[in-house]
Amino acid sequence: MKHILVVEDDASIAEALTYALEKEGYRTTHCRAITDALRVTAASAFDLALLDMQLPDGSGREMASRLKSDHIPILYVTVVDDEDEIVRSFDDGAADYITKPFRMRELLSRIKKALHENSGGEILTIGGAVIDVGAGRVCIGEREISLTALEYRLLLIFAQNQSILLEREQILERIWDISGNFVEDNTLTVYVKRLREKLGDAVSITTVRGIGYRVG
Amino acid sequence: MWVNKKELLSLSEGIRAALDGQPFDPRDDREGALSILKNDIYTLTHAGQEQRNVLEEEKERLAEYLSDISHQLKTPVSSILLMTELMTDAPEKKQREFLLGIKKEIRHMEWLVSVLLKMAKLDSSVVNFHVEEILVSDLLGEALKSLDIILDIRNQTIRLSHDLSISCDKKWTVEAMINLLKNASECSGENSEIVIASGQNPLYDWISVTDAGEGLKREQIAGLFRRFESSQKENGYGIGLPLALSVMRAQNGDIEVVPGGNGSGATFFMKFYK
Repeated sequence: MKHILVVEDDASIAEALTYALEKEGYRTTHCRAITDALRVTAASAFDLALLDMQLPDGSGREMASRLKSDHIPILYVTVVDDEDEIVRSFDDGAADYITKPFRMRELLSRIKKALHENSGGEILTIGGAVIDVGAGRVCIGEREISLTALEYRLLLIFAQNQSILLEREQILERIWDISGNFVEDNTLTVYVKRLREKLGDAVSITTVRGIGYRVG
Repeated sequence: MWVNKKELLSLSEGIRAALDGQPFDPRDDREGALSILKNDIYTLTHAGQEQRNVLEEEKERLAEYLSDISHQLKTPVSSILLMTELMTDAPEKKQREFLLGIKKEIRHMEWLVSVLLKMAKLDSSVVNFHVEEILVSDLLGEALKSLDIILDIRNQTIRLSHDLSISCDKKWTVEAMINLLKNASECSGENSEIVIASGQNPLYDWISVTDAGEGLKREQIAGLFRRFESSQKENGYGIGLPLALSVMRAQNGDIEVVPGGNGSGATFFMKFYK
């Protein structure tokens, strides 16, 4: 089990973080300040550190040199969104950087990346369709299917959650996360219909009445 | 030169009054050193008075600004409060509805706070611009990342009629562009086309955004860029366009609006002075 160090002084953010990480199957240790964190790192091994930039007893960066010598990848989680500061952190060897407020899903995917747990993920298959995530292209057999922005995002959500019943609200929220715009419920219905027409028999999207959709 | 003591005393008295903010005009339109001195005193006290007026105005503007912000935050906060209160003993279906409502309000607040922070940074000139040569098509591509779904839903297309390399800060210029495009999208109907163009002249490079709306009235234009002015618009706090303007001004540019009308939409020019 991967062990993640969380150095964060805000109690409610720390609680939410550790809860979500443990739900994902990580072991976590939480510290409020640099002094505690230094004590903890001396005693046990970690696979990754989530560091807040502004801590009660100094800057997260002071922590970084210590962690670097132990080869623990660092992911900064901070309200500081100054571009120069971000560049400096990367120069100092940070693995990644995420600014508050952030989405849990986004953080988890970055953690996976930092831990090199990404299962490639660049090519996804769903039914008879192949999605090249890097290029943003969808093919059925040899034929490339042209999808609009929202159709593509929807298909991607379905592909990442195959054989799971996706509730309408979950889908709407996911799109909202990506686009920053709330999509109306009936818009979703229209787009699923369009997606079905474009994909034909290659992908079957089943409607679960009153709840949502299931694919695969 | 003979100076009357009484005259000097009354001058002193006047200066003190002026320092307290009272009007004082000792000028007498005569010749001689004393009259010149009186003239100078008038200029000096008057300048002080002007400065005080400006400060007073600034203070009022700040207070107004703060009350606008508080008001904008108060609305979502009260609805969140209400919904959390009702959630406890609501049926599950209602609970979900409230939860979604709460999320909606929080996103609004998140957006508002982030825009305000950006504006504060620009206002206090603490932004470091990283100027580079960049194609308008690249800026547009970057801006569209956060707009493609909304454009898709409204079935609006964006056409770039002329590409150009412009020297500007990429991140901030994209920020300004997103806000202009958002506005253009809101002003244009469904199934319409928004046109982006660019060009240069000896004074500045420019990028333009033309919407497919009905154009603007001249008197509407100033209000578009006043913070919180058009906040009754759905989804908007009336700070998208003011932010775009702040970005452009901070990097030695400006935004000019050609109102259009008679079948043509409004055009917003982002100007980058050389």
